Amino acid sequence: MIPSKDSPQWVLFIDRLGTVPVGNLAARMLMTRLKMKLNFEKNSPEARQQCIAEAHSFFVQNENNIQSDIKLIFG
Amino acid sequence: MQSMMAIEKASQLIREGKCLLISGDEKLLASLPAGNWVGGTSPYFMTEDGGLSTKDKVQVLEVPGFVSDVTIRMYRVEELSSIPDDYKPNGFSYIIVPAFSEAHQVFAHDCSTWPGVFNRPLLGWIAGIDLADFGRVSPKVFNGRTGESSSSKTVVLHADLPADKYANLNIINLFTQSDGDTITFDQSGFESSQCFVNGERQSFAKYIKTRNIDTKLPLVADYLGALVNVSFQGVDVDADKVTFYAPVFPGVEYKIAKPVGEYAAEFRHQIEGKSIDPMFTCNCILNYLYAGLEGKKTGHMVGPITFGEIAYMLLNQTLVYLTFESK
Repeated sequence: MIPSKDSPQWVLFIDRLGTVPVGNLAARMLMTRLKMKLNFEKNSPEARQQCIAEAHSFFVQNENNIQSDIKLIFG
Repeated sequence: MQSMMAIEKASQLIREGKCLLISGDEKLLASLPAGNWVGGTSPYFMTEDGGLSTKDKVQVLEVPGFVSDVTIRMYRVEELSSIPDDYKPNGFSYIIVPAFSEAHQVFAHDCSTWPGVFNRPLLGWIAGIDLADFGRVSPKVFNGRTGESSSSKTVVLHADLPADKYANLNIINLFTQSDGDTITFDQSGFESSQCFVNGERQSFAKYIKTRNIDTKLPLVADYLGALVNVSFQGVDVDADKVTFYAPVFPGVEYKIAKPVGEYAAEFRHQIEGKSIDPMFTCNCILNYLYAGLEGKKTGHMVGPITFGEIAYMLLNQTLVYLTFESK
């Protein structure tokens, strides 16, 4: 259910950060922090990769617990 | 089990091998036998009978028996960023940080940048002191297994859960953003001189004073629907400085909070109809003082009253709670 890290769905995820109404507290905080990081690092390719890696790790580790948020993000 | 108890009863539970989260006066915590517990100092509690201030009893919250593989560790400041490395595969981690310590500052500033910090519930609180003792005693945290206590280290209890359960960490924040000015900062920190009000740079202290802003109301940031407070500590127009109980961050839009009515009543209204059975809750000393919570209940939510709350990051004027859910 979680796309692999090199899937174009993650590019979409990063571009849409802050627009998908997730419900989980950790997801909200993580995505806010990632958005701050991207803004601070001027959306650099390296920052985008780091954000994707962190988000991927979070969603994989919580796949069973936040299924509704995952479905909202990835369909 | 009533959460508040005499030291003898707490000692008995420890000797029975229970895994316990304990808060109370330093002298009481220091007298407890070694065992499966962690502790932090606070003389303020939310109890089954309402808010209470005491140095004669400790508050004991029991970790359920289905929790396993409990490890307890003290972290030095330079080790804090490794806390997520010690997360259990399916568990949660319970952290207590001494107020006024370098650890308090470092945690508040940096925790959200630690890789993996959001991957498991990280809940806890900032240990405090009796406000009447300010400047004379320091907050402490305790590793019950080793007997070590510290005013500079951070104690964390890491625990795992069976495959059919997971830990769910949530907050209840009665404060919402007002419709007024948007305030931003270009530097992070527990203090600020300049801010941007609707994009215009100005002195934050002067802004607060000229608009007669009630600093019992926190700044509120919207983290994609999670409302995160930063509480005011002080405003000094002469020094052109505003201090906070949590850091502000650049890139975050803050608004002054809307006033809340009668806190205890509004709190009960928020949780009524919801089936919440938390293992642990904590609430802020500022809510306790400003809302006059001594003797008043916040529903069935009991736990220490703290100098900061932790739900993945440092929070202010917020109730944090942890429940266990079935997969």
